[in-house]
Amino acid sequence: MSVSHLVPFLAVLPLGMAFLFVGLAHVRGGQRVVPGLAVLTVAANLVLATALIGVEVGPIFVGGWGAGKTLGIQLNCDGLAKFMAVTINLVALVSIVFALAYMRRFTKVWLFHALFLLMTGAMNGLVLAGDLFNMFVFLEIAAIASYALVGFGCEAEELEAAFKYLILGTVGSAFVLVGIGILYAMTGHLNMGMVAATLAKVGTTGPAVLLAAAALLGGLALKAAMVPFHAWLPDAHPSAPAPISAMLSGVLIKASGVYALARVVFNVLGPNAPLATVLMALGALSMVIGVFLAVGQWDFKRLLAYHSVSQMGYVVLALGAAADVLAVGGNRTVAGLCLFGGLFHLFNHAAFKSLLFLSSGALEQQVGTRWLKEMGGLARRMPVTSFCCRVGALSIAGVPPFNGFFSKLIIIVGLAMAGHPVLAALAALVALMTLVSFVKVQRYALEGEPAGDGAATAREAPLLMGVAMAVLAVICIGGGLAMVPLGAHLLDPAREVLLDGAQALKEVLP
Amino acid sequence: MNEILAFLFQPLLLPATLALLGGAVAFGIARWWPVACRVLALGVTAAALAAAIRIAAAHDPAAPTTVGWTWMEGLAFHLSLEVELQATTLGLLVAVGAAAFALLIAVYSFVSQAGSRWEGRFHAYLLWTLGGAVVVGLAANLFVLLVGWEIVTVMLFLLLNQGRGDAQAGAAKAFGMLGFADACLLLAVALLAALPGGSANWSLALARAPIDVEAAGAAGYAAYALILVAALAKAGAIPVHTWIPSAARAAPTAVMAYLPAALDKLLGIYLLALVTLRIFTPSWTLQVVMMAIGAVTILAAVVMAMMQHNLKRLLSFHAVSQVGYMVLGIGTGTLIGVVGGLFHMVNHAIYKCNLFLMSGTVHRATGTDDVAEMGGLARALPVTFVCGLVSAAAISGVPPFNGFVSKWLVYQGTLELGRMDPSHPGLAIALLVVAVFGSALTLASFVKVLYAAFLSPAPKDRPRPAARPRENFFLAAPMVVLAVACVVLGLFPNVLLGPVLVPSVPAAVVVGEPLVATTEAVTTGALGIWSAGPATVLILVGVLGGLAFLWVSSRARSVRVVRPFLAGEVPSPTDDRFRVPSTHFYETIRQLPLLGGWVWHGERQAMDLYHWSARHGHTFVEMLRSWHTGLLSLYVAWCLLGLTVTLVYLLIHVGS
Repeated sequence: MSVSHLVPFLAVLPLGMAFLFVGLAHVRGGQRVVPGLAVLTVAANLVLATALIGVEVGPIFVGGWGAGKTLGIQLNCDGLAKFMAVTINLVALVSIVFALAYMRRFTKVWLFHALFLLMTGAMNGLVLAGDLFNMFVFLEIAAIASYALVGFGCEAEELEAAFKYLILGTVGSAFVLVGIGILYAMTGHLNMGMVAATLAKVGTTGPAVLLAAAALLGGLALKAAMVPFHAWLPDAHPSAPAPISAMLSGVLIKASGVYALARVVFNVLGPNAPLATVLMALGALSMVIGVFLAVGQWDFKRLLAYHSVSQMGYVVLALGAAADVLAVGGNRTVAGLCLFGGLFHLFNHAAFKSLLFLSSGALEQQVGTRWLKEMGGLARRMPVTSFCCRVGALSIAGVPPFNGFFSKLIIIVGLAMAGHPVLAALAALVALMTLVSFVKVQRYALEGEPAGDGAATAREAPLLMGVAMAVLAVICIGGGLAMVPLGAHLLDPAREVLLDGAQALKEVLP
Repeated sequence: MNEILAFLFQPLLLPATLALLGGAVAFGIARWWPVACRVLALGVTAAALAAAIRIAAAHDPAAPTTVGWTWMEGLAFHLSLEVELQATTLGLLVAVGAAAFALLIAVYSFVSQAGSRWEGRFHAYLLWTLGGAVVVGLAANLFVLLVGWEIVTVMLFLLLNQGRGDAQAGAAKAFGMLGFADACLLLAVALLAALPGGSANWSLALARAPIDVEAAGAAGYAAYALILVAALAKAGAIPVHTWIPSAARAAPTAVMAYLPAALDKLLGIYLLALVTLRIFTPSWTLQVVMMAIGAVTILAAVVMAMMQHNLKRLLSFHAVSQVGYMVLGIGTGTLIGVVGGLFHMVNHAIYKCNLFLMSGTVHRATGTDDVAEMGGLARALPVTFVCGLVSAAAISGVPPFNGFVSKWLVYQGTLELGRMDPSHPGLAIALLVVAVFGSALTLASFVKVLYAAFLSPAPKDRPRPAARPRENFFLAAPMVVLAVACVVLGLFPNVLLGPVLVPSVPAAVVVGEPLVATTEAVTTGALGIWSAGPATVLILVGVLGGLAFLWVSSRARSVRVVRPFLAGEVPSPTDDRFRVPSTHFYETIRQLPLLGGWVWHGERQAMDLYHWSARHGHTFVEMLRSWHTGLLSLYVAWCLLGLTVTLVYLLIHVGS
C-alpha cells in the first residue's frame, strides 16, 4: 500500500479523533489521555503530509464514487493541496504542543482538543477537496469549530467576539453557498475540474457567472479577512486562547480564505483580467488599511490581528498580479515569480504570525495583560520568549536574513516586473509601516523598564511553550536560507498548479 | 555542505564570515561570559582587519577578484539570486575602514562597556555590524548589498537600545528612519529589476556600464531618487538626518562613535558614489539637487550644532553638517569634487569617531554631557585633550590636518564646476561661499567645546566624582591612533588619493562635460590639490615661532600682575559668580532675526520628517479607527457593499 492511499486520513483521522474525545471525556480517566492523543494525531498528520511531498497522487475518489458523477467525494492531492497540508499541520503541531502547557488553567481541556482537531481535520479536508460542495462543507466545519474556540474562555469580551465572528462568518458562508449554487445550476457539476471544463465551453462573461464569481470572491474574501470584509478578525483573533489565535491567524484564514480564493479564481473560473483586478484591489486595500490600523493598537494581540489582515493583503495582491499577467497571456515566468512570492509569504506568515501569537500568549500569561504600555523590560525577565518574539517581529518586519525579507522582496520585485510599480511602492511602504509598528512592540514590551507589577514579577514561560516557540523561531531564521529546497519541494509544485489555470484539474475529467 | 563551507572561507569572504560567526558565538555566550565576548570582539575584529588588508594587498584594479555562488538558479524564473562579491578599490576602502574602526571601538569598549548590563550582547552586535558592513563594501550586486545594508540597520537599532534612560525612543526613531531608507533601496531594486534587461541582482561589477538616467525615463529617475534617499538617510543629510541627534543623547558612546560617526558615513557615501558613478550617470537636474542638499545640510546643521549645549548632540549635528561636504563634492560631478567628497568621507569618519570617543572619556570623567558643566580637564586628561584638539582642528578645516585637505578639494570642485559650465556663474560661487562659511561656523562651535571641557575652570557648584579622572590606556589608545591618522592624512593625502580614491572614480564621471581633469593632473597637484609640503613648513615655522615667543616672554617676567577689580568685588577664579560659561555667547544666535527663527523651528522639529509623518499618520490612523465602531450591522453593511461593488465592477468591465 503506497502512501497515497493514506491521503483521506489527513481529514478523517483528526475528525474521528475529535468525536472519540467527546466519548473519552465521559469515561473515568479518559480525559487524561486526550491531550497526548491529540498531539499524536496531529504529529501523525504532519508526518503523513510530509511523506506526500514529491509523491505523485492522482485524483482520489472516496467511497466508491466514480469519475464523471455529479455527486461524490473527490480528493485532489496536487502540489497546492500538499503545500497547504504541510503548512496547516506544522502550525497545528506547534500550537497544540504549546497548548499542553498553556491550557492548564482552563477547564474542559478535552473540549478544546476536540474542537482543535475538528478544525484541523476540516482544514485538511478543505485543501484536499476536489469538489466545490465538499469544500463548502469543510469550510463550515472549520468555521464552526473556530467560532466555539474563539468563545472558549466564556468571558463577556470573548463571547461578544465569537458572536460577531459567527454572524459575519455565516454571511460569508452564505455568499459562498450562493456562488456554488449558481455554478451548479449553470454547469450541472460540482466537481471543480468539471465545472472549469464546462465554464471554458460556455464562457465566463455571462451575468450569472459574474454573479457567482462576485459571491464567491466576496465570501472567500470575508474568510480571508480582506478589507472591507475584515471587521470580524480584530475581535475574534485576539479573544481566542493563544494557540487558537496562532491557528486562526496562522492557517485558518489562509486555508479557508486565501487558498480557496486562489483555487476558485485560478483553477475553476480561470484567471481573467477583471477578477485579477478585484484581487489586486482587495489585496492592496487590506495591505495598507490593515497596517495603519495595526500601528495604532496598544493591545498586543489586536495589533497582531490587524497585521494578519495586512500580510494576507500581500499574498492576495501577489496572486492578483499573477492572475493579471496570466490573463493577458503575459510572461509566464513573471506570473510564476509573483505566485512564488505569494505562496512563500503565505508559508512564512504561517510561521512568524503563529510565533508572534504564541509569544504574545506567553507574555500575556506571565505578565497578566495584553496592553503594551503595561509591559516593559521583559527581554530580561523572559529571555526565551523575548528572543522568539523578537525573531518573529524581525521576520514580519522583513529584515534579512529572516524569512519575511525574502518573500517580501520577491513580491515587490514581482509586482514591479508585472508592470505595477505603484503597487510595488505601496508594498514597500507597508513593509516600512510593519517595521515601525514592531519597533513599538520592542520598545514598550521588551525594552525599557517594567511599567507594572505584572511585568516586574514576570517569569519565563513553561518549557513546552518555550519549545514550541523555539521551533517556529528556527523556521523563521532558517526559512529564508532554506528557500531553495523549500521552493523545489513545496512551492514549485504548488505554483505550477496555479500557473496551469483552468487546465490544472482536467485529470478528473472522465 | 562542503561546497558552502569552502565558499564561505575563501579569502574574499573571510572578513564577513569571521565577523558573522564571531558575532554568533559572542551572542551565544553573552549572558554567561561577557568578559570572553570582550576578548572575542577584540580578536575577531583584528582578524577581520587582517583578512580585509590581505584582500586589499592582493587587489589588482585591472582584474578585480570576484566570487559568485548561484543560489536560486534551480527555480525556473527571472529571479536568479546570486551571492556575488567583488573586490573594488572603493569597496575595499569601506571594508578595511569598517574593520579598522571596529577594532578601535573594540579596544575602547574593552573599558567603556565593561560591567554594562548588556556587555556581551554589545560585542556580538558590534561583530555583526562589521559583518554587514563588509558585505556592503564587497557586494557585487544590489541584492547582496541590500542584505548587508539592512543587517547594519538592525544592529544599529539593537545597539542604540542599550543606552541609558529613554534610549528606546531614539533607537525607535533611528530604526524607523533607516527602515524608510531600506524600503527605498528595496523598491529601487525592484524598479531596476523591472527595467529592460534588469534583474533582482543588479550587477555592481565594474564591467557593467552605467545607465543614463534620462534614457531610462521615469523609472530611472525614480530608482535614482530612491537610492539617493537611502544613501542620504544612512549618511544623515538633511532632510533625513534627524535620527542622529535624537539618538545621540542616550546612546552608548562607543555606538555613536562607530555607527553614525564612522560606519554609516562610509556606507551611505559609498552607496551615493555607487549610484552616481556606477549604477547611473546622473542628469544635470539630479546633480543640482544633490549640490543643493549638500549646501543646505552644511549650513543648517552647523547652525543647529552651535546652539547645542549637550556635547553628544552637538557632535551629532556636526556629523550631519559634514555630510553636506561629501554630498556637495560628489554632486559637482567633477573629478576633483568627487575625489574630495570621498576623501572627506574617510576623514570625517576618522575625526568624528575620535571626537565621539573624546566625549565618552569626558563623560566618564565628569558624569555629564553638558558642556556648561565641564571644565578643567586639560590637566587631568592631557592625551584626550590633545587628540580632541587635533580632531576639532581637522573638522574645522584647519591646515595641516586632514579635514582641511578634503574640504579644499571640495572647494576646488565647486570652482571647477564653474569653470566647466560657465552658464551658471552664480552657482559655483554660492556653493563655495556656503562651504567656506560652514567651515568657519564649525570652528566657532568647537572653540566652545574645547574651552568648556578642557580649558575653562571647573565649575564648583556641582559634585565632582570622588577620584580624579585619569587617562586609561584602552580609552586613550584608539584616540591617539585616530589623531595620528588625522595628521598623517593631512600631511600626506596622496597615500590615499593617488592609489585609492582617484582610480575609483571612472573616467566618464562628468556628464555631458568635457573631462578636463585627468588622473595625473589630480595626483600631481596640477589641479589645485593643496600641496601640503611648503604650507606645512610655514605652519610649523609659525607654531614654533609662537612657542619661542611664549618661552621668551615667560623668561622676561617683568610683567606686573594686577587682580581685576569689578563692581566692588575682587573676582577670584574659585568664585563661580565670575565664571563665564562658554555657552553664553552662543545664546545670542537665538536672538538674531533670521537665524533665530530657523533655530526656533529646528528645535521644535519642524524639519523633522519623522515627527511630521508620525503626526499626520496618526490622524489617518485615528480616522480609520473611528470607523470601526464595533457595530455588527455596520460590518455586515460593509460586506454587502463590498459584494455589490465587486459585482457592479465585474458587470461593467465585461459589458464594456
